[in-house]
Amino acid sequence: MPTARQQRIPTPITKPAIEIEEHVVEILSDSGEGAQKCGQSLGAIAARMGFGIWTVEIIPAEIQPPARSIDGASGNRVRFANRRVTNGGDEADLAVAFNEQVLIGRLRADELKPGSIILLEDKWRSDDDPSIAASYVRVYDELVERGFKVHEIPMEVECLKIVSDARRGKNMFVLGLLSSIYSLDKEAAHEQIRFIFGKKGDLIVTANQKLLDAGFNWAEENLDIKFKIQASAPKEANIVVNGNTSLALGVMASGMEVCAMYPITPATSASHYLSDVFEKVGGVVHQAEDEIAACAFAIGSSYAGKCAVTITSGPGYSLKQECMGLAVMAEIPLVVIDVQRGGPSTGQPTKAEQGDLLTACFGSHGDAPKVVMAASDIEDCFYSVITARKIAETFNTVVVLLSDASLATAQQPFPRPELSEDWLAPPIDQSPVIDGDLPYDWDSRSGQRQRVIPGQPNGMHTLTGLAHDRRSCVAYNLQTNKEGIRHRSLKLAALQKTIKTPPVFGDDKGELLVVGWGSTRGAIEEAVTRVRADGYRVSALHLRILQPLASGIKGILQRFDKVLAVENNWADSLEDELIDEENQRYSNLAWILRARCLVDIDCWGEVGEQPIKPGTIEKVIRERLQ
Amino acid sequence: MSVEMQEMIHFHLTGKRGNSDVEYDSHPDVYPAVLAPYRQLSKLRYDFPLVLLDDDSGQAIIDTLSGVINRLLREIAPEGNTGARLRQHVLRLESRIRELVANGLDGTLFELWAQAEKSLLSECKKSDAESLHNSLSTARFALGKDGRLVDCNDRLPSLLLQHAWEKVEARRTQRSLEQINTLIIRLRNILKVDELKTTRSRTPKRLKQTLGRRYKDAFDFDLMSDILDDAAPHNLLPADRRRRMKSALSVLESQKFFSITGDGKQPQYRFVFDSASGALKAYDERLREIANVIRAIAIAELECENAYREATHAVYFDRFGVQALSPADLAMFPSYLICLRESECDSRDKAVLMEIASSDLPMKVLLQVSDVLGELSPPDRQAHHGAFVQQLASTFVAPGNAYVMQSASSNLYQQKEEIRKGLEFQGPAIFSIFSANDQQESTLPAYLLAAAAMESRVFPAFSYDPSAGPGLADRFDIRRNPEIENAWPRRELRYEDEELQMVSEEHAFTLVDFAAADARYGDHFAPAPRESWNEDMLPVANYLDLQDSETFEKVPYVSVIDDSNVLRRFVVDDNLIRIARRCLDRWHVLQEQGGVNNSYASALLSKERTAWEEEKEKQIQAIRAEFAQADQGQLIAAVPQPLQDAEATVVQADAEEEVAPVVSDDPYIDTPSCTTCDECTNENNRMFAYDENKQAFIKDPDAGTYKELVEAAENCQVAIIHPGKPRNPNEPGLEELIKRAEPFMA
Amino acid sequence: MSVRASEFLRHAGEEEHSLDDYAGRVPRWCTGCGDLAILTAVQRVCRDEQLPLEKIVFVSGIGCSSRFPHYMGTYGFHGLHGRALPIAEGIKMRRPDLHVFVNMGDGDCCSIGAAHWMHATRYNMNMTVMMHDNNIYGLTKNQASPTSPKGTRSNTTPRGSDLEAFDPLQATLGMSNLSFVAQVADWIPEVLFKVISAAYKHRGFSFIRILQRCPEFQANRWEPCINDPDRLLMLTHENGVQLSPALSRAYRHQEEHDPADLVDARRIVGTSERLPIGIIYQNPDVPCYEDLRKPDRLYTPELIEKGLSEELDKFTIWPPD
Repeated sequence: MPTARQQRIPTPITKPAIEIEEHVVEILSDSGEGAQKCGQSLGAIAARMGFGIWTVEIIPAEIQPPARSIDGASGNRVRFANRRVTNGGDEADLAVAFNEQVLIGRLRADELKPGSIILLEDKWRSDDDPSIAASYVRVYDELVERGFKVHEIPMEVECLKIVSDARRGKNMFVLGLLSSIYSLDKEAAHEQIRFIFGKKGDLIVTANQKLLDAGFNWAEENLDIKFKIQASAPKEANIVVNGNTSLALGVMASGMEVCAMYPITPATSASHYLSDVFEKVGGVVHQAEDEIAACAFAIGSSYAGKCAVTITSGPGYSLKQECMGLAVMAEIPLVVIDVQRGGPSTGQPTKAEQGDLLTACFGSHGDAPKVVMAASDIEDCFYSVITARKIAETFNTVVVLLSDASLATAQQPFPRPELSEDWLAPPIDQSPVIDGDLPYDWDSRSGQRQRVIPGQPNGMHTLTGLAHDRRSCVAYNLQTNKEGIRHRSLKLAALQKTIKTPPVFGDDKGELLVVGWGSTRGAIEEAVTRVRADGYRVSALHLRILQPLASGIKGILQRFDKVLAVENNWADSLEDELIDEENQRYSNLAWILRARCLVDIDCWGEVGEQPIKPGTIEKVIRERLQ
Repeated sequence: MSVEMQEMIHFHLTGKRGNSDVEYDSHPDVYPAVLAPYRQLSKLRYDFPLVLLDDDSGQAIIDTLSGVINRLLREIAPEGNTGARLRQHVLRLESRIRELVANGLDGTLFELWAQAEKSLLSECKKSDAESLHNSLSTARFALGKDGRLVDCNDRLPSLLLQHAWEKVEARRTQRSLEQINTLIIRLRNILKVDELKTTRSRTPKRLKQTLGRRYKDAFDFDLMSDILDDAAPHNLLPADRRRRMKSALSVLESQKFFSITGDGKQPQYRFVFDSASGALKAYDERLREIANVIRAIAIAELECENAYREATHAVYFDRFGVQALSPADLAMFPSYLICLRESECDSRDKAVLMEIASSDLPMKVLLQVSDVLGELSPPDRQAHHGAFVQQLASTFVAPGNAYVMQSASSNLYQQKEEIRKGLEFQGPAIFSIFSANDQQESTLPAYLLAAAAMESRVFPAFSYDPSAGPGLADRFDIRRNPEIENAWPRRELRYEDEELQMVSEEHAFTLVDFAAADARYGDHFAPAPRESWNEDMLPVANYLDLQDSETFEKVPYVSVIDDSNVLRRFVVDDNLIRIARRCLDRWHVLQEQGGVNNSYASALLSKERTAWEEEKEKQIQAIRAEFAQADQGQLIAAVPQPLQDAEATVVQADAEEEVAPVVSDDPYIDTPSCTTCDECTNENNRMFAYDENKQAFIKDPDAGTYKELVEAAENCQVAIIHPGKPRNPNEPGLEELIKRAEPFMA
Repeated sequence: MSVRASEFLRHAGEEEHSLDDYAGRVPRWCTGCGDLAILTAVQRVCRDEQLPLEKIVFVSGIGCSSRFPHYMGTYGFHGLHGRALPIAEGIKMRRPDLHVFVNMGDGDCCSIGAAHWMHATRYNMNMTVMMHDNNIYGLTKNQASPTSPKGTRSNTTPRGSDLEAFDPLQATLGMSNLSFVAQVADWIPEVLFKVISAAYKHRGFSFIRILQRCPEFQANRWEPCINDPDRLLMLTHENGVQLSPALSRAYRHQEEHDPADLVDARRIVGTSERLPIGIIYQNPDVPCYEDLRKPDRLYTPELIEKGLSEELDKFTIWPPD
């Protein structure tokens, strides 16, 4: 068998490295074969060499989907370039597949560039099960047919020369292949392996380094592909984490001490990491009996002076609404993080969507004003938590921080934060309350008030979710109720006054303004850049604080002929027969901006499986420019 | 009587060798016979060297090398051959380590382990090298805590005591440390919160610092600062309170007793001294500082709970000084360790020690004794130095409130618990420890010499612990000595006689045996040539048992062996015998204090016994008498007597509980059963009122009508209002009301 | 731990708190409502323990009984229907210095908040929990509650309720980590007071079911028991409640029951035809969640920064130097 292969791929090969600016690589396997670890490592190695990177996890819905199944594809998409990367990019330039089935799903989703390179494990060709062997040949032939450059790789055979269980080694072998193909620094690769396996002891480390070298050498000898990306090593210290880890680090850096949560995808991994390390800084993660209890627990903790956070996703967020209403009514600081997923109902737990903006802004019955923020990239996840905690405690209000499934698992390096004591929540105030001071002594201009914390002598009162007066006594008359509602609303106005108008990406007037929020920033701005390169007068505006909205936005919108909201959530398409201006349901942000700015805003939304690609947005923009 | 015998008696009595023609052997270096087996000490597995464990977990403070190795082997050496080899290898290492230490090598267990391993490997065959290396590295891996190794030598007492003191102190002051640390943090927090309320903390610059780099441009911090001023908190701390907290804080931060930071940056007091007066001086100087710290702690604790009341507390704290300190307060602070050598103490030092022993100061004194016999006094029979040294510890017992321990260095591991107790003891503790120094002229190695001093009752071990109980018996402990019941401990002496037959005889180990090893005492011994041995020569112990009258024509001797391992007898002169007697007396006193052969006890006992016997005798007589004219029936009838009273008391108890139901004409409420339902108080709040438990009672029966009383009774859901009889006979409709009141009367 | 000086001064010159200091606003409960008796008993416990007013928090849900905090002179949290317990847990988690009391109705605790109740028992956080059980929804005007006896006529069960009543005691005795459960009747103030104060002293989650009169909608529910003491079974024990002579004359049915005996507790609750009154089960050794999860020390900004930068190190790619 090997001899046969030797003949297929002549060796040795002399190959000049082709200079490229960027590439998107996908590594696909059945889950459990370590393709994800391989992808993350590839990203990290690239980052060590100073590439800009963005990695996206490809996650099957089940924990153990059947082997060789189309939906079972598990793996990682890595985009690296000679400049900063802000999103997962377009179709892949190169895909590695541990079996032919996992490729099919990606092909159907048009995730692979036509004619792109495919490295395929060849053991199936000679599988004992004739049907498997047959299906392999079928797919292989079709791929070649469709013009993909398919290379069959004896991954299993080569790995078995080093380890007894190839399932456990292939991913590092593949990492070796890719290191050779992209002329990556072998030292950096070894360093990375030591970094991941270090805890497991030297034996494991060296074994994996051997696998890596094997892959590397095999590629050097047998493959005629070699690329090179020019990049200079990073000047400053960077950290490489995904969005959820970044959120968790932010929680620690904000000085919050309590995180109450209930398991839910895709938010949970933030709590996983936090549970592991929170106690190092004196914090505690409480896994409550349900989403409601988690929120109530956080409220109790905040009320007692320890500002708390609760982390959840769509369904859990809906369950917390009543509690959040209480926090608004009683003016208890609270940070709620919603890592959005596909909805409604249970929807698509592992898929990205930005569908919770409206419920975040307007959720909970009655008038329940709260602050809503959205992180726009990995670094933003970290700093947004700190800001959210600060606003929550300064204005005694609920702050909702939106992230989503695409940020949750995406990795992007950002400058290592320089920690500051000023970020931390202040110690609890236990000083006596002055005679005559009332627990809800609203300031008539800004609606603010100094909250009283249990333990403060002379401050005793009963907080209530009922309408209440300045003494926190139940209000039985309309006048008092109205007074409360007015002041709670004023707080948002007060905060709004302090928010600066967000900067415009591109010229501040022109033909088309693309408006977005949250995780789509990178894709939108990349698309806009591409179109601008062709001379179009297109700009982008990205919003991070969505409630209250900063002043001056209307002004910006009006300086463009057209405004287009691009979001990863549903918007009716006028192409549908029944849809027209009278009944079109806009994307989330479009609703808000139309109401706020009285500007006729066009919108385009997509609720696909993967984060929106810059190419897709580029297409939409060009259409709108027709 | 033979000439030789006469000569021996003369020598015994005069201590002088006559000019007769009897041949004496020259006086060789000899060894007390019973100690012969221990000559090659480092070949034996015994208590030494010790390991001073680096363990702050608070369990073991010291261990023995053998102990560590045993535990290690139990852990790692499986049954069977592999285990056997491992054991054997590790034991080889142990004895190598022991040799290294015995040769004066200094270091920790790990260090010496490495060295011993190296030297073993260097000298063993290539073939064995690998397996030896393997077993040793396995063992080394499983080896737990490291610690300095110390042999039984001159340095042992101070090293060991200082080590133990450090560990005990670390644990004892841990809580004080945490307490102070916590208070510092809490005070800082309070002051920080207060600072955050000031306008200084709301400047645009400060506000900007509270957000990370991604938000520094998202807000207009001038506007924010302006907005936040609208509802600026105004409950700042009163200036005097802030001042008070700051000064308390600075006292706690700058105190020199505990290292809060632990980084050694902060200046620290030292608590180890080499002079008693030095320690006392330091203690006195620091006492005010202690008062200062305690005062700061108290203020801090009150402030942290908003419990400081200027009006009532200021006066107290103004006067707060040294005399206000409680024992518990003082116990928060470290004790003082004083390491002294008896030989270097003059009488003034000893006076100061006595002062300490009679105080309740936290002073721990090591008094190291290096010579327990000392130069013998001239034959004019003055008490010699040794006698004083041996007494020293007991003299510190006299005041009664100091913890006192006497021991020989050889025994310190056995007495580690006593040492710990003494260090943990609230008041002063004095450790008098004998450890031979290098200049000693004995043929015995330091360890044996120390052990021998204890065996021979020259320097017996005891501890006196005032905290152990009220009686001497509770406080005194002499159990560490061998055979505490006996005058001298007995050892078996085995040797081959001329016919090469193994002979075994019991041999008491006395002060004289101890002295025999010491060259300085050569003159007090006269070697007796074998041919002169006879039955009038008695071992010292037996000789001491004789009455004076019986000693005529007898001479005491001691068995020794010379370096050619030949057993010999030395005749002992009377001077030394007298010293042995004195030593024995002291031992008897100690026995009594330790509760052995206590003269009072035995006196009392015999008295009681006779009394008891008489009593029994009487009873027997009585019963005999009874039987004479009594039949069984009566005897049985007599039995149940006591039971009856018991029953009576039970009934009594019931009677006490029984309370006669109140029958009264006045209205009343069964107040404890009131459920505060407001019914009656709403009916008439002048007639019905609540007591301090918010339960109803009748405040003024005449403040309302009988009708109201009855209605209240009817409305009371728990029916506890009793209207009693009408108070105003003229009230209309009484009959009807009285009828309605019926159900509530009883 | 504190030094003698502050220990002594903390009390010196402090004026005693009277019952009125613990009273808040004037209760708006109906005349004859059992809640009044509970309020008094609780105030007495606080008074006798001389708890600092600012260190007490009363947490409640929604319902008649949940107005309780307003009527105390302490801190109070009148929150959401059914959510009193998780809120109380959040308060206690990092504030062990606060004395937390919880007041819930039967609907609050056994119906909408049932899951929280079950898990709160399991967390065993140190708080005193009172379920005012009047067998009816009062504030929403007379609907059957889970504990309403079968056949109860109410606005939602005009022809009488169809289901057997839910038994909170049986339920509690089946919950994991249970550390204290008692049953008392609001109309026996002596036992009410003794049990609440025992519950307060118990370190852990002490749950008291209080049989409570509702003169408005369940006027006759407890009448028989009030008029006929023989319908109650008094549980007495040296480690439980001991009755005054007067009371032990009034209540003839008494049983010596050791609160430590879970099996016997289950027997009594499961089989006795009389309503058991007293401490049913108590185990002081169940660890408290807030202790298990408490920080190992007081954290300063320095320590937090240290811990955090250690974490950052894990993800940091340092520039080549």
